[in-house]
Amino acid sequence: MLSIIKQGLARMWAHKRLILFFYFANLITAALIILPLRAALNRFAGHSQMADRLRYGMDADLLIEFLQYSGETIGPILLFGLLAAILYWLLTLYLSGGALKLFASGRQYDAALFWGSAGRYFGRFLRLFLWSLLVLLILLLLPQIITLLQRLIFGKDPYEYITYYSGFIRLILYVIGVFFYLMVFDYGRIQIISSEERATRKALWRALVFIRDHFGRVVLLSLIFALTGTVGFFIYYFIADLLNGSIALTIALIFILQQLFMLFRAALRLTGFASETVLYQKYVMP
Amino acid sequence: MVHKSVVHHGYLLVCLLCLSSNAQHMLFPTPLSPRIANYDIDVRLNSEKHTLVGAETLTWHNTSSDYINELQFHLYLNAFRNNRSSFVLDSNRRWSDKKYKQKNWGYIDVTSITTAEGEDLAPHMHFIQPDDDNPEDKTVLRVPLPEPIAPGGSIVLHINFKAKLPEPPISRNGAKAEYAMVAQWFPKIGVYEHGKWNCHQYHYRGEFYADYGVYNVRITVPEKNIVGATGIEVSRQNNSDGTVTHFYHAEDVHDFAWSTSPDFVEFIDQSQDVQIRVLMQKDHVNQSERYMTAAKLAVAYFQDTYGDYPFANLTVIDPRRGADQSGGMEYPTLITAATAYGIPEKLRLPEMVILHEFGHNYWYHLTANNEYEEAWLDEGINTYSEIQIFNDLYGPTGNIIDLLGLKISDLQFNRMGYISLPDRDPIVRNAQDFYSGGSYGVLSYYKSGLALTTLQNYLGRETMLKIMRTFLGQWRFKHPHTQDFIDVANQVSGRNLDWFFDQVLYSAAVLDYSVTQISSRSIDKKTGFDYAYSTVSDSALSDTTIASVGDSTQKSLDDSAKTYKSSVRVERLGSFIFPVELQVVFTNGDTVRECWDGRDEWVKFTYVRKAEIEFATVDPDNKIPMDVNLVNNSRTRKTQSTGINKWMSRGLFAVQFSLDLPELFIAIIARIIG
Ligand SMILES: [Zn+2]
Repeated sequence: MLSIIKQGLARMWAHKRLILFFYFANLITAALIILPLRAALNRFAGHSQMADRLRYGMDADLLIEFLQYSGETIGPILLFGLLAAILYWLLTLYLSGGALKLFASGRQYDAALFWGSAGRYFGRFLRLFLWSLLVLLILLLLPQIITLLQRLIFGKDPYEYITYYSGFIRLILYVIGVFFYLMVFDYGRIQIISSEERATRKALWRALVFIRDHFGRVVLLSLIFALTGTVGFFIYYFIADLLNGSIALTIALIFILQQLFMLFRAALRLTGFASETVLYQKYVMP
Repeated sequence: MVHKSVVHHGYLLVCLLCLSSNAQHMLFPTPLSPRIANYDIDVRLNSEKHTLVGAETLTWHNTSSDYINELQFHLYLNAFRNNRSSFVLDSNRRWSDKKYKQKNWGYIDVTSITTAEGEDLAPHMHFIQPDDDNPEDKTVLRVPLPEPIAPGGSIVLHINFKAKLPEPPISRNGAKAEYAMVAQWFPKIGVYEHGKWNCHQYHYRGEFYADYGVYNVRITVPEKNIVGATGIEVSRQNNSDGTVTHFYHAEDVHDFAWSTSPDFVEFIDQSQDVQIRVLMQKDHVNQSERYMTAAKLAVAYFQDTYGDYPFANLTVIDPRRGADQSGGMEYPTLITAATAYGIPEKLRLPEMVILHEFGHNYWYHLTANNEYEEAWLDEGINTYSEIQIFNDLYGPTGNIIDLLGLKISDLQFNRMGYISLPDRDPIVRNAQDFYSGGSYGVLSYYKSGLALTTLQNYLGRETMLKIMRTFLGQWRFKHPHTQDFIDVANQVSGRNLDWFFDQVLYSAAVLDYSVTQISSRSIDKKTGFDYAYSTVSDSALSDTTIASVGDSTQKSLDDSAKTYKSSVRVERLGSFIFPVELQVVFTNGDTVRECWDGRDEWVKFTYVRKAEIEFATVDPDNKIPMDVNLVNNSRTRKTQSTGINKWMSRGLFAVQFSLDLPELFIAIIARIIG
């Protein structure tokens, strides 16, 4: 497993500029959502002494009034945010075609190959996504089993703590379901790229078969990346908490730290793609 | 506070002595209230069908100077009788739309009504609709009398009734499985005043009004059931049919409610001279400590702050799951709470409900205003008390919510509600006549609470406390009206506060003062006639001109700073007029305070100083929580971007982070679909 991650890391590093592609796509999308919000807040409170309180913590009065009196601005911004998020998702789906192709080919960075593959696989990835929704649907039905079980065991009128804890269990199952779904979608894409499969349904099926056949390894790999991301976040959070202050310098430092973390996340994500490709190639195309 | 325990022990003695006989019970040797409407009720609950069978003896005294020819009764449970009641129609058919089955509705039928002499009054009784002429509404019963009741006279009536509780509870009362919250449940006489009956129908909005009296209530429920009720449990009798009759006695109260369930878990403690009994649901037992602590704090706080709570006990009912509508309500010596499993400690909603509902044992159960016509008089005053109690017990910040870095106080919580709909109605108005349910709530609770808090800041806390204590003292066990409160405030404060109450209570005026402009301009450069005219550069010019007029006294050696003419404009953006203070802070740290009566549309203050203005704030001490916009209260010369940038960089990070969490989007989409 370690060697797979090592190889993955090496392939990612060979194309480290991809980190910037993903990072900037993320940053620009987020900025497009946040900048209008910042402008609205500046317009509303930029010249109020109350805005100064924001340096020390969230101010409920300001928040309450901002939401009440800037509702007409906030609504469209949120709507735009949802739209931007969807576009961002499509964009990363597009970029993933190029990235996965580069990782699969093991070649040096080649702009034509990257962008060409991004365009070439985008349609297939979209179709794969639509088919994979079936898998998602089945996985999301899992938590409903808990609801059903709860009904069967405790009846229509369960104690509140039963509803409460079954809610937790549902949430955990839900997270597990999404975790599996993302794996399926990743290996589906890798399968399309590796075999030039045009029938996305087949690719999806083969991805499922692959995951079944190499269940332990596949899950372990995904878990390692998920855990690394979580540990990274806690390290970020720990430092950010230490740095938390009310002056421009600490605010700027935290901003830089946040962006470093996002770079790390982009790198981690790409390493994940690369490692998954390595794993797939190792067992499918020896 | 010794007298109450003495009374209590004396009372137990009396009870022991007269348990076997049917003698009169006595809690207070001297009645605390006029005791106009007195009830003896035997009631039996069928806990499966949720039906009640009751026999009521009403003794009613005519304290007016009129001959009274008819009586009027509230039959509140008929509000849930069918989808044609005014209650359901007023609710925009919120209930009737949910395909209600037979078991869901509730009703009350008077099966017989006779005088003490045995005269049958049933043939002539009929429903009336004094508020809305909805012929289908059966919540007010008119009973013509064969002979009028003379001034000072009394009447005794025997009334038999059958009732069914709605399931699940609707609007305060009803049943759910083995649990029942039995409120507004018996034929209850209206209030005769000003030459007529005040007996409103039961509406979707608005609450109650009743005369004080003595209640002797025998509640028969299954043996396994635990009962909590208004007053004191005097005795318990096992019946041969597997039921138990709980005998409750209460004096000088104007309502009687009870609750029962075999699943209650009982907790008992004491706060000062008041015994507290908390009846918890099994799945909330881990919150019993929170309930008990809040109830104890409430009793001690109100007794210490406003005056004596004359009753010996308080019962707190925790509503069953699926019966939320029976929570958060006040009855004499009994309140219903509200919570949810797993609610965080720093989300003090259960505490809020208990503190608020206990507050009503002062504002409403000691000062029995007409809640339908002047809801603010108890809800508003009680909200003001609630704001104070939260501030005093849990500190001024984050006293109600302190989660994930967001701190909200009860005061802010009320402001949040208030600014959402501040100006659709005056506060004093019949509940059903408000623009909307939202407006009724916002004005009766939030605006009134904030207005009294504003008044407290204006008069000083001591004066305000004196007003509250005097109001309670003067109107204990009476029916105060809005003007009575104003009179007390004027008398105690020694000021005429009509200008304030007129705006708060009888207008929809909104209070909003704002610093709309500040400016500072250097006036060192002197040009034009009387000053030397020069074409040299600006900086040189200003030195020359000052020197040329020989102003050596002003331009002393230690003072090389420029002189600025500064101005601050404060505007009244709402029509509510209130005196305000203004604080102007200069760049050299100088601070100036101004007072403005707030009458004109705007006012401008100008200064000539050796420093520029840094910022200006109207109401710098935050004395006016009624102000609907606090952000515009201050204005700074420079943009205050540091704090905004801090939060926006956090926001940026949060968005960046979320964008790469496909789980989040799947969750959102799943939520939208599911
Ligand atoms: Zn209330």
